[in-house]
Amino acid sequence: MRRILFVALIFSMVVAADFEWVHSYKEALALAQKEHKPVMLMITQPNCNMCEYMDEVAFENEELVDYIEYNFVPLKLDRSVANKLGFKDYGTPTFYFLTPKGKTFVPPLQGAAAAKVFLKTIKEIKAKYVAQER
Amino acid sequence: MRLFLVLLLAMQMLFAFGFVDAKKPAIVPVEKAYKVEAVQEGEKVRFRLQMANKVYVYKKHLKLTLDGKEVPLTLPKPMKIHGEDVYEGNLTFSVALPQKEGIVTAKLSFQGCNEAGICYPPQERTFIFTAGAPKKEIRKDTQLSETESIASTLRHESFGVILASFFGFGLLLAFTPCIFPMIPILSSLIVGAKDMNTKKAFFYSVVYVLAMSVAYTIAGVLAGLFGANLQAALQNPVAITLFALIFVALALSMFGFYEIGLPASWQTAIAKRSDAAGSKGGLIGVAIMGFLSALIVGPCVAPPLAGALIYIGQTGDALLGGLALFAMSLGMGAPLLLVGVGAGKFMPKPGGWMEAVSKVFGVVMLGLAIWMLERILPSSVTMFLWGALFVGSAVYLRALEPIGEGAHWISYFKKSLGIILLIYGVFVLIGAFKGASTPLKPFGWPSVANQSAQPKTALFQKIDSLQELQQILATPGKPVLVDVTAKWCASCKELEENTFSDPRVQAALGKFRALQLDMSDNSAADKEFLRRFGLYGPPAILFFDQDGKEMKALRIVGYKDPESFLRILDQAYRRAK
Repeated sequence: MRRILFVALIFSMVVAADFEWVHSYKEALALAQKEHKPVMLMITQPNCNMCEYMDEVAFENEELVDYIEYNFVPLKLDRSVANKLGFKDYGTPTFYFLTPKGKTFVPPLQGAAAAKVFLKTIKEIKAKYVAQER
Repeated sequence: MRLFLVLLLAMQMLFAFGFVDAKKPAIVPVEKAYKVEAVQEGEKVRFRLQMANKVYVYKKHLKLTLDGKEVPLTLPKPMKIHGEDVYEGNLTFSVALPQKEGIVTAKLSFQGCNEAGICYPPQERTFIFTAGAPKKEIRKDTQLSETESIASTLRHESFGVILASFFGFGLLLAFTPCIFPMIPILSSLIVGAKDMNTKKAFFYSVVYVLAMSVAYTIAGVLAGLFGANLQAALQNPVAITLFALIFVALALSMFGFYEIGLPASWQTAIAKRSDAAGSKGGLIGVAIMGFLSALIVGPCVAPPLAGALIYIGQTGDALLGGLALFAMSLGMGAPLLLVGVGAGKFMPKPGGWMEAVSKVFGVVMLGLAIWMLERILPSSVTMFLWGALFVGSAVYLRALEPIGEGAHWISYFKKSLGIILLIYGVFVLIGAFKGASTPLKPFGWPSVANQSAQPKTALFQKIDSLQELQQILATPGKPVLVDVTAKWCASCKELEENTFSDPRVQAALGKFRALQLDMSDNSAADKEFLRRFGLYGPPAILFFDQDGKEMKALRIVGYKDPESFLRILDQAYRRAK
């Protein structure tokens, strides 16, 4: 019984983590252009428990994961890489939202947030993007 | 299991997190999140890490090295956040300094997060202590001086931005006295060459500027890596005399006594191989002049240069630092390209005119030679040389000979010019005997004569070493200011003549114990002083508060005009109390 529970837990975790992070800025922009989606850039660094929280808790929320998968190209970069590309941060995680051309269209989000808050915010961001593209 | 724990704990905080906009400054930037203070108490140093509200630091990422060796820390009991050992609020701990005499470099590195939901980048703060010194020393790191913020630009900006901004800094530096002497040198190299045209002039200028930039870069990287200032080392009487002699030789060749070039046998040997090789000999000369000019003629320390040097010194990243310096020197040299092309373009056709122009540049070269010698000869001697140069030029303009009947108007013009030069030369000679120090003010200006008669001795008290400064700092009194200067430093001269001569500045300086360290001879004591404060050369002005602690944020490197200097003095005075 315990075994089944464990398998179920693992299974639910695997299924929940539906979207796959892109790890190259160029690839993300190419993908964004192809799929006509904005890019969601998450800046991380080693030893960042707030980033771990996002990965292990917030991004396990099914509703949020689905929303990101259909509406954004998720890109994850270390802050050393991101800073060289011109994306500044006070710390990590910091989220930038970019057009397929690599332009920011909203101010970056700083810090971790619970899944519900995060979902609400990125819905607003997506709406802004769509309005702007028209 | 650990993951599980983190998960569980984090779940509890699920609703504690919310986004923070840039507009709502709930997340403090890292400089405000952590403030580190280190106080030396005899053989021990006490560190105090002050954290802003909701900020914490990981125990396992808190590390201290003394002279590069990691030391174990005795820390209080940590608290737990998300299963990690952390500290909040104020963290205080002490370490013993190593048993040795001299300077100890302490590096404290740490990393942590803000409970508002953000983790800060890893931090490192550096402190310098003198082991065995009884004096209490406090160093705070809350504010950065101009130079240090440039060093941090290098650390945080992207590559293209760094190179572009250093090129920009260079362009600004191009209008400082460090570059002015290069203008006549380059122009006369171009005017003095045979068969000059615009293209060739441009080529000459490019070679000159590149050689200058290479010299700056090499000197800078060496200074950053080894702390030895090559430019300062070259400011010795031998190098300066040699260079002045080169100027005299160039001047004589301008006057048409001889032609400077490779020996005839070499020239024919090269000419056999290629037709264009004739100009190569000239180009090598131009390159050498460019290289030496950067090192000897106008050595300058300006904030961007010092910033790049600090960066190289701290990180050992000579590549990025060197490239930044190279970009800066190219910026400094860019206006020289215009000068060079201009000199090539507007050059008259060979003939009588050409000779006149060459001679004018010959005089300019002699002037440069005297200007160089001002660094090593007493001012009475150089004043005499200036006077002689003016009078000599006047005589060559035939100021003392009658003009023949029906002469061309140019002869009249030349004679008038000659007479003016003659009179000025005589004034300068008289000034030399009256003890004036600059040919620009042979008699001093009547209105400021009374004030400027005393300042140079009264304004600053001379010191020779770090120990002397420490003794003065140990005695209570007015706040202390130290001006680091040298005779060969063009920006220091500018400071002296524009800023320190201003009566308002002199009045404000009266509120300080104003000290001056003259490092013209670059002695061991001078070098020790520079190393102690992480300076790379003059000009620099340091401020100390009444506890004898340097107010680093106010530190001045390079030239400041009277207004900005007064503003800094005012701030220093208020903050010192």
